[in-house]
Amino acid sequence: MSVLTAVGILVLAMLIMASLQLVPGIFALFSHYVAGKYPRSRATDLSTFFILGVETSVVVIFFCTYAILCCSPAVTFIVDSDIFAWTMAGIFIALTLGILGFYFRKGPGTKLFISRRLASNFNAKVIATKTRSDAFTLGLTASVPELIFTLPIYLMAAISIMRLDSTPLERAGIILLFAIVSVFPLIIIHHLSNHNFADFIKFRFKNKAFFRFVLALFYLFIAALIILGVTA
Amino acid sequence: MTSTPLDLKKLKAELKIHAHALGIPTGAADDFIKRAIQDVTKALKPKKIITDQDLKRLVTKELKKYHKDLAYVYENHDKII
Repeated sequence: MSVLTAVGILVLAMLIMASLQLVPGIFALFSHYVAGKYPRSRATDLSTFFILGVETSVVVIFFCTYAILCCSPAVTFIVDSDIFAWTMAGIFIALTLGILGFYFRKGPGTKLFISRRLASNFNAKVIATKTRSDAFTLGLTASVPELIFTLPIYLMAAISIMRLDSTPLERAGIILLFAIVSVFPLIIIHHLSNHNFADFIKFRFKNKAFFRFVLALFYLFIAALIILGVTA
Repeated sequence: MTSTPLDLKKLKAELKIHAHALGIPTGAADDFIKRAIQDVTKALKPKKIITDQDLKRLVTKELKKYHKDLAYVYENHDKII
């Protein structure tokens, strides 16, 4: 894998993390409910802890993936092989089809692929959140159901970082940047949903097909970059 | 299928949360939520049983007369995730 390919995969991985819809959806609902129940300062406080929870989960999963890759020579050997690259390309193509096929449920709204029981659990948790620790835990767990779509991203991003000629401090900086870009949409949502939540929901519903298309395109681009890396 | 008694207080509290989050002044929100719930209660009088979806449709219809955004948020907030 060349440095250019590694940078390309990293950028696309960040864009995918920023375009996934489950965490922003839960956060939009959360932000709306806390704004309705508490004064503005308390609502901002709880929203900040939710974002910190998401940030923590991204950093922890990324560091764990990176540490496993770095510390195990056997894993590093497998990762360097062509078979692994083709497998990853296949996974990304499958995820592209998955995004197009079942990421959003059919029907009105932006209901996602997660089970309806899990969605109502998240709804109930959002409504019941009262303390900072509740908000933090909700942020931590919000991204877990989407791991099927994010784990290959973490893996490819970690491999890409390993391929870059950089110091450990620079690598830590890239991981931090990855985490910041991942939660950036949440900050925008926090401001948008405070203005008019109805317009925000309408925007999401109206652009559902566009979100799906862009997300699928990013996954396909990563698959293409991996294939280019093997064949070049 | 299970049936639960209609909890108008819970409905009122939920609508107040939505209204406050949308920045609707408390007095105005209290007033039209009260009126909308009165209209819903009137419409429900001849019925012994109503499904959650029908109730939602009815509340949305009544809310639309007073505040379209609130009606939209109430109708769609469970379709986000």
